[in-house]
Amino acid sequence: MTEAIELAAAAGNRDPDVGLAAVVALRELLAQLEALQVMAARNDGWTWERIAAALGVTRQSVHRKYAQRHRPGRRST
Amino acid sequence: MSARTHPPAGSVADRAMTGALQEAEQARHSYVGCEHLLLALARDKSDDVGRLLEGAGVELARARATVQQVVAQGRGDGPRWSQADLLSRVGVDLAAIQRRVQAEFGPRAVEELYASGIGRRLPRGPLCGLMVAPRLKEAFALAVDTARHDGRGVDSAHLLLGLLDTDSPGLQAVLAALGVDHRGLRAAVAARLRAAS
Repeated sequence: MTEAIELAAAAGNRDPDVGLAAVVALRELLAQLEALQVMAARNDGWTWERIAAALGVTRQSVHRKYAQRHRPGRRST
Repeated sequence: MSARTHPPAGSVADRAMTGALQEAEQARHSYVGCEHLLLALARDKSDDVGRLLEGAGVELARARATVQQVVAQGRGDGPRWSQADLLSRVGVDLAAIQRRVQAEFGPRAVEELYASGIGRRLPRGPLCGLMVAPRLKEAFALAVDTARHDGRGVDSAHLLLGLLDTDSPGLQAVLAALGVDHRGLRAAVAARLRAAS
């Protein structure tokens, strides 16, 4: 994601006002696309561990970001 | 406005909201604000309020152009640039991505995402539809209050009064640019409402 943002910033507009707003839009779009993929993976029965590995992050970070918190009695992996 | 807060289907408020959304979409804005509702009210010439607005100086073609100017200058009720325009600046085709998302995950995937646990804390972004400006929600709430006070359903005069009583930078900029007398217009709508109740 960082790479994509750097690329976008480099390719973007010379007016920082527009360029920065474009980067924000791109960051928000990436976050939405990632969440859609995570939702699809969970619907397909993927564990948080497998999703984390595919995203190249730790299981804790993906869990913190996406897992529902208050679900007593239910395994989240 | 979410499905939950959207006015009842077929009502005057629903038609006005739909009209405001159309105006915002046609203008390629990323939000719908008080300035777009003004256009929706002004374009209905079969309505008393539409004619009142025209008489007060809100001529539709000129008003549309003025809304474009005000938004482009960053003086509207919402963001200056649309998400699609911003993304195109960095070579990203938002419409193409939206088509891919719908094809892969289904036509309601984004709504489903935000309704799910996974999307619960996800900020809004370019895949969400038009944002409803808080000022527009305020104007609708005022209109609903006045209509309730009058003991009838929301009509276009209630909506216009709600708009004029909302502290909307977009609406004020548009009315000022069109040379509309805000106080005079408000007095005329209020008089009409009194006569009708």
